[in-house]
Amino acid sequence: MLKLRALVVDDSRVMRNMVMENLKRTGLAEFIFTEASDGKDALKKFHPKKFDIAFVDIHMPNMDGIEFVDKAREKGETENIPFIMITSEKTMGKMTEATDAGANSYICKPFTTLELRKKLVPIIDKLSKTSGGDFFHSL
Amino acid sequence: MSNEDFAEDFSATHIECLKKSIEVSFNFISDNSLKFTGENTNSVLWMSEGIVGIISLVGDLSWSVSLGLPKQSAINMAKLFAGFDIAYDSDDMDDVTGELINVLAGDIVAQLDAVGTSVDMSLPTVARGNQMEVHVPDRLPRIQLHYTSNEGDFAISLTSGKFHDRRNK
Repeated sequence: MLKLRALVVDDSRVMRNMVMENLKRTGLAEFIFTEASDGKDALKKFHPKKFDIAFVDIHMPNMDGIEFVDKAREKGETENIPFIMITSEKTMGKMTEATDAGANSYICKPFTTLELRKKLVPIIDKLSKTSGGDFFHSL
Repeated sequence: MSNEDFAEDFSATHIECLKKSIEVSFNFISDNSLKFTGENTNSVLWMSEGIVGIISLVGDLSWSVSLGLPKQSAINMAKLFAGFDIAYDSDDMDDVTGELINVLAGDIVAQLDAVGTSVDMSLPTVARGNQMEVHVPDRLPRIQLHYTSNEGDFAISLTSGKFHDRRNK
């Protein structure tokens, strides 16, 4: 099974657990998780060589998800790392803001495992093609 | 508060947005078991024991939206939302309540946006206790909507940030 190093950023511990549990249930990969409690925490933990994919809440204290994605992209070498926004904010304006900052996709809360899987299949598929599979790291 | 005041602060379109958001959000969470049980415009949100999540919406309008969950409703809804048991007296319960009001507010923002009303939402505030009353200044227009579901009863309270000066009425 594919092994993906995933950064999960949310100020709610319960939401982080829910995201991680749902990701496991998709069966798309064996995820190795790193958690961050807000954008600042995530930025400290983020390094392009340490992660294959990131799941980021937008609405967080200290540093929101959009600012985090923007700053993470500034670090460079993140072209092959998809940033998936997981958010309760679903206006086009907010989505455009997130995309402009460098987010690749988003999923709205609340969501089912099936919805998450549907969003992830093309992203993981595209990633495997563009990177030639290099992003699938073995433990 | 007169009906005229109420209509001025809560347009039928905006209230429709609120009700639609509640239905969308809580039917998803409670497996389509949501039932509207009534509304009132003057009472305060009160619970003998429960938890309250509050979020402000600010922009083209100024609203404070509160979700009042009695203890058992909170326990049941948290389990359904998170997919695992969450102790009532835990930080995780605060987390889930914050997420529930967050999900509702996010949908309200989207519904309002669709009718041309732009608002931003605050981070949630959560309070828990016994004999809880959520008070707002007397002159602020407000509406309270009551619901029941398989997980139990709950209430959504909406307060407009606009004051009414009764001296001029």
